[in-house]
Amino acid sequence: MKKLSTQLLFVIGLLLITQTNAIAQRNFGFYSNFQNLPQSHYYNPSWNAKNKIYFSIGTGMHSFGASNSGFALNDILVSRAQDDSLVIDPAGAISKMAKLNYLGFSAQNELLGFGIKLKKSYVSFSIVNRFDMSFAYPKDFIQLIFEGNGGEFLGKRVNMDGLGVNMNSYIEYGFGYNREIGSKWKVGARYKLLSGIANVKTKKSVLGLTTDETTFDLTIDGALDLRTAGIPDSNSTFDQNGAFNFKNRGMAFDFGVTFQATEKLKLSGSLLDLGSIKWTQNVQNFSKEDFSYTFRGVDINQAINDTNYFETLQDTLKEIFFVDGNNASYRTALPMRVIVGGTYDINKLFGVGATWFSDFTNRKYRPTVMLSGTMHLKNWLFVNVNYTVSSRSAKNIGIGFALKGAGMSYFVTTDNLLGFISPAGAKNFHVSTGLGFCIGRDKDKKAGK
Amino acid sequence: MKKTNFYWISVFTLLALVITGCKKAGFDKIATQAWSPNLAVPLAVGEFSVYDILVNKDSSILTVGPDGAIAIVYSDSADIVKASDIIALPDQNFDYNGSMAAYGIPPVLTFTGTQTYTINQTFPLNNPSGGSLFTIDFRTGNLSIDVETNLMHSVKYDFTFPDLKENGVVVTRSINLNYTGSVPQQGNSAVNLQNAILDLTNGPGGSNEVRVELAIIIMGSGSPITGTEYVDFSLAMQNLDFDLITGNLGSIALPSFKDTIGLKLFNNTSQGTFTLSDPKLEFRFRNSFGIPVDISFNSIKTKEISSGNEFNLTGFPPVFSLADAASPGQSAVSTLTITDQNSANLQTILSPTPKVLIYDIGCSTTGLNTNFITHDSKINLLGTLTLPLEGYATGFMLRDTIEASIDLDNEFVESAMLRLNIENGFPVEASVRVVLVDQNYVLLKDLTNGFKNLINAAPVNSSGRVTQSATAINDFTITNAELPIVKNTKYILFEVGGQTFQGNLGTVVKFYDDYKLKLRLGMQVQAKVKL
Repeated sequence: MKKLSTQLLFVIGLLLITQTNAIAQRNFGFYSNFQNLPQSHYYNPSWNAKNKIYFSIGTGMHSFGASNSGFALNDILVSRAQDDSLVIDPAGAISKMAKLNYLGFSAQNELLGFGIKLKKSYVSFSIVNRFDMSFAYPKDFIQLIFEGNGGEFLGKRVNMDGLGVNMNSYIEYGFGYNREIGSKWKVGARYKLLSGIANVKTKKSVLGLTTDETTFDLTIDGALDLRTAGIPDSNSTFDQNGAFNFKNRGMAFDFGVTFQATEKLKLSGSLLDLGSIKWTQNVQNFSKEDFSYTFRGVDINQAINDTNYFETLQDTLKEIFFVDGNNASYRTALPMRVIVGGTYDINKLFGVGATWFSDFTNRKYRPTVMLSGTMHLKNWLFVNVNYTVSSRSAKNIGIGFALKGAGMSYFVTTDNLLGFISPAGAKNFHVSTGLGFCIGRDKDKKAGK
Repeated sequence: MKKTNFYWISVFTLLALVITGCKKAGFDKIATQAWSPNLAVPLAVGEFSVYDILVNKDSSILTVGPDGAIAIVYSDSADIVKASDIIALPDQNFDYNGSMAAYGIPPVLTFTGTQTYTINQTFPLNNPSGGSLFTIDFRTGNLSIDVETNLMHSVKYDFTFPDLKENGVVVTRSINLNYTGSVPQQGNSAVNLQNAILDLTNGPGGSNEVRVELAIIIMGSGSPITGTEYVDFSLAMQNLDFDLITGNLGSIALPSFKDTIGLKLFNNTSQGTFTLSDPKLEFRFRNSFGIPVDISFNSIKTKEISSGNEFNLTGFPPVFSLADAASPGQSAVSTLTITDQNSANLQTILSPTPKVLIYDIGCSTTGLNTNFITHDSKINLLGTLTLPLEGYATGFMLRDTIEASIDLDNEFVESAMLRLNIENGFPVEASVRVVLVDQNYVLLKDLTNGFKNLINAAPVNSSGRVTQSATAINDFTITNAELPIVKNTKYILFEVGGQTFQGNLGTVVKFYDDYKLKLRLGMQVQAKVKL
């Protein structure tokens, strides 16, 4: 077990060391698997538990995810021909990368959850910790580290545009409401009051290094607009009160709709995290206008004639790379997501589904498609298997279990089982689990479904 | 029951897959490897004009013509004749032994009362330099007057120097000897000659003579005058220096003067031939003596660096007369210019990479009329060799050594390559050999594997002007195996051989002030770091 933990840490560590972006993906397996669980309303506000009352304190839902769009561990660690030793193959990993790659980590932890069904309506309240962090790493950046600037990059610009970190941490206080409209429609919405804890936003990141193929002159160009809030510096400590004091205040909305097209076919869609946070506390912004500087080597003429030449050169470099700072407040939009899906119950035991997810982060659109199958093995046991194509990875097979009974509901689900079986080949790893308490009879059970 | 079994089988299978999957990762099998990035960086950049190359190397002066053409000027200045070389004022001593008869004093048994007797004397000035001196305006000096008599009476000496004036007033001095019963009686006085003017023309000879008038006043004590007594005096002029001397100084042969001009352009040149168009050797004399001087060149020659051979200039004017200054404080400038037109072989003696130019000068005064010399009079010679950078050169070889250390760690460096980019705007090509040696000059690494043509000469048009720069890229590689060896490098030896553009064909090139040599040094390192 110790070895297992060590290896998992190594995997995560290696991914972090090699760096990431974009807001990490969610465990979308939940969407298609467990629409009737109390926690399902996090993915579509028109959904809710079948029980009369649901509540949880600290156990309702915990979701963790990590992803690396650039390469899998198997791409960088390869077997040596003469024996079974592994060797690092940077070229192999680099060949798999896109121009800009993302390494991300996300967590969603329900601190408090409550819901109650009122005839055709459902009202809920939740407090959820949200954390997303990503690191964007250009392919050229990694190639530069491993290969240097003296090989393939001679005469070319090492394109490190987009290199940066994005991180968002806040507490979400959600008030949800949904209602059945007729026999086929159901709509829901959730208003979320947000209290920001910390944020890092790389709004603009341009960085290039060009090495003259003849003279080896180095030209560095770039620009930066980096905004941070709640990040402690050497003179301060992390302020945990940000979770509750609403000094970095924001709000967001979730919307959802469900349409029971036929007895067996159900269509649904949701728009999540439509909102923003205004960051005002402990703000430190850094910016650098577009610049370009070419270092041609020590100027012999000046070095001979000016005894202070090297001090002057040092001052020049400081001036060129000086980054302006300010403490102006700023606003960040939440990474909005759109989910559209449909399920079809083949019979009482089996159902299939298809779901299309879209992340809109930093004006970038990243789609994910999932196909799923659900088995109702018992009234209290559900099993779901899904297949996901996302993050330039098509090797994502997920599985999930849900147990309902004795006033409790428990689930665990992942969208990438191969991440457990063969972590070295995985680009994504997500797992969600939760335990909630239910009061009141499940309508499905009552109906004998 | 069947479905329950399926559930537990699924769970077990999943756990088994997870555990075995993690084992498959095999992180404990990662082998040691090397990280081998290739790094390229610029090290240095420099742009050198002819000023940077030549002026920084020595004290020569570049001159730029109206069209930008450049000439190197080597010069040296020296005072070849000083006032002390022409005239010196030694100490002067005049003694007079005066008897009673000389003064016309008769013998008496008892002398009482007061009686005055006078005598005029002219003394010759000791002038070893020769010539006739008319006046001396003293800068420093002292005139001491000593008197002695054995008269048994009180005596007063009244001296008058009618030709010596202080501030325009004739100098006089009195010395009183009060008889107290013992003889001989002695006394003295002095004159500070600073700023005094002595006229030496009022004697019978018309020059070089000093007149003295002496009045002796005897105040009788009742003692006798026997007629055998004496009344002596002596004059001594010491520590004499002058501000101005006038006179007819005549012909004086002066010591010869020898000077050397270092031609540092060729300092590091071991061999080769330089043919420079229109060299010019100029001697500029500034004479502040009021005396004409004739200059004769005993020899003008160059000395070759490699062989030590000397090459004499011939066919130039043997004697050159210098004008004299019109008045004290002024000077007259006379210039002698030697070129290929008024010499037989100036261009020739400058061709074989000369290291020095040597000239030996004799001179003599030709003062027939009234002349003058001031304390600061001198003849200053400014010798200037002007070498227009125009012509052609072949087969020249330069050598130089610089201290250096190379500290590239072979543990982290697989190989290192130095790249030298050259953009040559000069009409000179260069083949270079660069050698790394240790402190005992033992060869460690021949970077260029013998002579390497580093850069071609920039081509020139029919006027000798460069039309476009020549460019070249030169790479020097040190392998990992060589790194431990070159770590012992103490010196880098450079040998540069070359010629001007088509120098072997006699194509004339000209150097202009806008020519540039651009050097850019970069380094590419194949690193090797064990992981």
